[in-house]
Formats: sequence, C-alpha cells, structure tokens
Amino acid sequence: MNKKQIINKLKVLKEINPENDFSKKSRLAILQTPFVSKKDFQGESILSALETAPAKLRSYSLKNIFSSSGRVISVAVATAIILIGIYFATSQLSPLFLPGLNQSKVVAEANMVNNTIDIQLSHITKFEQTAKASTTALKEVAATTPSHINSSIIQAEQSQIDSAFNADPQSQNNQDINNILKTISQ
Amino acid sequence: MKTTNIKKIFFSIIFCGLLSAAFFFNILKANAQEQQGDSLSDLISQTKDEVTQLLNLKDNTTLPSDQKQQQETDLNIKIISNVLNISLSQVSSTIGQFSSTTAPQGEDWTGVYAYVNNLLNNDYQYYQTAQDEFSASSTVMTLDQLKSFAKDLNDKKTNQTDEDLQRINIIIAALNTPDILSIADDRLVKVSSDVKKIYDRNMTKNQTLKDLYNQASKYLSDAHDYNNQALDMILNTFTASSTTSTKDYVASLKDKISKSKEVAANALSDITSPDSTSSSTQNLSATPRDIDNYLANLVSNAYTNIKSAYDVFVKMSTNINKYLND
Repeated sequence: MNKKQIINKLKVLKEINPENDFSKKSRLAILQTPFVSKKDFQGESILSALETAPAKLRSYSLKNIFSSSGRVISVAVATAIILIGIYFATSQLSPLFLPGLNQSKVVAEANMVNNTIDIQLSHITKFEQTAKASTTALKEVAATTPSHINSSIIQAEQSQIDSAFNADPQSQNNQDINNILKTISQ
Repeated sequence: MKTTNIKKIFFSIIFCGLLSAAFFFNILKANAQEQQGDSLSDLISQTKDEVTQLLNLKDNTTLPSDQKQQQETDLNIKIISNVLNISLSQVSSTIGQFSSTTAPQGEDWTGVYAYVNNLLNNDYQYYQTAQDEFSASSTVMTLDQLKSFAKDLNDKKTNQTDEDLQRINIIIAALNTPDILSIADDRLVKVSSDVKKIYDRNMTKNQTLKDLYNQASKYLSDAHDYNNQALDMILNTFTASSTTSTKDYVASLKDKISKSKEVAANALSDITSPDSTSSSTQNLSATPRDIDNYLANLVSNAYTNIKSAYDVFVKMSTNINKYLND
C-alpha cells in the first residue's frame, strides 16, 4: 500500500461516527456518575480495596460507619441519662409517685395470688369430691341390702316429689283461692 | 466442598426437626393435661349416671330376674372399671403435681421425697395391678364376686390410698406456699417504702395508712410462722429417714393433738350433757387423719393470712388519695 492509498483509508475512517442512541446513553452514564472530591481520595488504599468489594458494600465508607455508630451510642447514652433523671426526679422528688401502692398493680397482684391459692386448694377439694363419688359408686355396687329400701333411691324419690309439689302451679292457685275465700268469709 | 454443604444441610434439617418436635411436644403436653382433666370429669359424670341406672334397676319390679341380674352385672363391671380408671388418673395427677413442685433442697428433705415417692409408687402399683386383674377376670365374675371385689377395693381406697393422696396434696400445697409468700413479701417491702415516704414528708397526719401497713405486716408474719411450722412438721413427720429427733417431734405433736381433742371433747360434753363427769370412753389419741388435718390447718392458716394481707394492700391502694387528703 502506497502513501496515497493510506491517506484515502484514513479519510474513510474519519467519516465513522457513533450511532445517535449510543451517544445519548454514554452521555447520560457520564452525567450520572457521582462527583468525587479531592478530600475523599485521601485514603486511596481503602478506596481501591472498596472498589473490589461488592456494590452494596462500596456504598458505605468506613468513616461513615464509625460516625453513624458513634451517633447512635451518643443518643442512647443521652436517653439513658434522661430516663434515669426522670426516674430519680419522680421517685425521690414527686410526692405522688408511690409505686408500692399503685392500685392497678396491687389489684392485679392480689388477683394472681388469690387465684394461685385457690388453685392449690381446689386440688384438695376436687380430690375429695372425686374420691367421695368413687366411694359412693363402689358402696352401691357392693351393697347387699334389700334393693327397694335403698336410702339413695328413697331420698331421690322424696326430692322428686318435693320439687314436683313446689313447682305445681295448681297448688299455688289453690292456696290463692283459699286465701281469697278466707278474706271473703271474714 | 460439596460434601461439607450436604453435611450443613443435613444438620440444619435435623436441628429444625428437633425444634419443631420440641414445640409440638409442648403443645401436645398442654393439650394432654387439659384433656386429662376433661376426660376425668366426663368419667366421673358417666359413673354417677351408671350408679343411678343401677339403683333404678335394683328397684325395678317388672324385669325378669335373669335379665335384671345380667344388666346389674354389666353395670357393676362398668362402674368398677370406671372407678379404677378414675383412681389411677388421680394418682398420676398427684405424681405430676409433686414433680412440678419447687420443693426445698437439702439433705434433710431427701427423706421426705423418698416417703412421698414411696406412697405414690405403692398406690399406683396397687391400682395398676387391680386394673390388670379386673380386666382379665371381670367377664367371668359372678355378681357376688363383683360385689366382693368392689368391697375390697373400697376398703383399700378409703382406708389407705385416699388418705395417702390427700396427705400428699396437702404437702404439695405447703411446699408451694413459700413461692406465694415471696411475692407478698416483695409487695410489703414496696408498700413499706411508700408508707415511710408519706410520713417522712408529712404528706398526711392520718395514721390509717401506718395502721394498715402494720396489720398487713402482721398477717404476713403470721403466714410465715404457719408455713414454717408446716414445713417443720413435714420434715419431721412425713419422712422415710426416721431419727430420735423426728420420733420425739411426732410424739410431742401427737400429745398436743390429743390434748386439744380432749379439750374439744370436754367442751362438747359440757354443752350436750352437763351432768356427765368424763369423756374417758372416747378415743382421744391422735390418729393419722388427725395429723393430716393438723397440717391442713397450718397450710390453710398460712393461705388465709396471705389473702388477708392482700385485702389490706388493696384497701390501702384504693383509698390512698382519701388518706392523703385527710
């Protein structure tokens, strides 16, 4: 290839331009890159290490981490001091701060203690009732007394008759009529 | 590398499996306890119904004799079988309650635990054996044999196992009292601090709060006293390791109970027959039941005092503003 041919090739290459779409994308990418000041380049070795780290880690710098945790600790310490101060002020200085006599707490605790005691006692009572029911059942099985004068049967029959008599509206009506007649006859 | 990952996955699955199993075991355990209570109530209710059926059947005059006898036999088998199940369930429930009690530790208490465990084991064994025997032979037993079995079972139950289990229930109640007392003591300390503050700063001249505090304090002091007596009694009376000291304690306790029975009998005699000169015909020596009742009274007095103390605390907290404004 002679000199003239080389010049012609260069002229053809000079005509080559990027496509419009590619140009726009490249421009946008450049404009979206964050500005990095000179100051942030001081720890070059750290930044170069961060460049090799995953993308998410790269968004934090060690400096940011230390400064944010320091802030959290400061806020926590300040809150604790304020809370202790409030507690001290209310417990020692406020005449109306009487935690031992707090009504809702005392009532709740009394209910809890009473329930615990009742549960303990109910174990004993329930045992007695169950044992009594079992004993009654065994006595009836073992009973050799004549069947028709069994006291349980007679008592049950008696209470049945009593309740039937008391519940009978007719007897109440008769009583009312007697009272009316008695009043008229006087 | 691949083998390590497989190992990790395998152990993770095992760990998760164990956690899930523990979680479900706890749920099942809670449900089982609840269901045990319900099924026991159902069984008691069912037995009562069957006893009513038995009484009605015995009173029945229309059924042919052989039919009546067969139905009576069937009902007797059901009732005895139910009573055995109920009794076994009661022993199991008492074993569960005793094992979950926060009992005092120490060498002295090993004798008490041995005593209680021995009673529970014997009672459980008795009912288990009786149930096995009954299951094996009930279908071939005659009506008279069933009646005889029921009588023996009832004698053993009323004279021994019921007394054992009721004694252990009272011991459990006594051993659980210190936990309740500890909550009440904490409350007394807090109330004491508030009462001190009120009078130190002259917030009121009304002495009611101070009086109420002293009253609650006395109730709790008495509750401690009764509880200490109850624990001391358990330690010396219900122990498998008997010593001269425990024997002396029991002898002194029996003497005390016997004297109080004598006083009560004399007082009753004065009311019912003033001309009578003595109550010597009565047996005034302390029975095992008297000893159990003595312990039950100590526990009951401790509980009553704790409840009374809380009544006072509630009264103080409810009326605090009224007292401060006086």
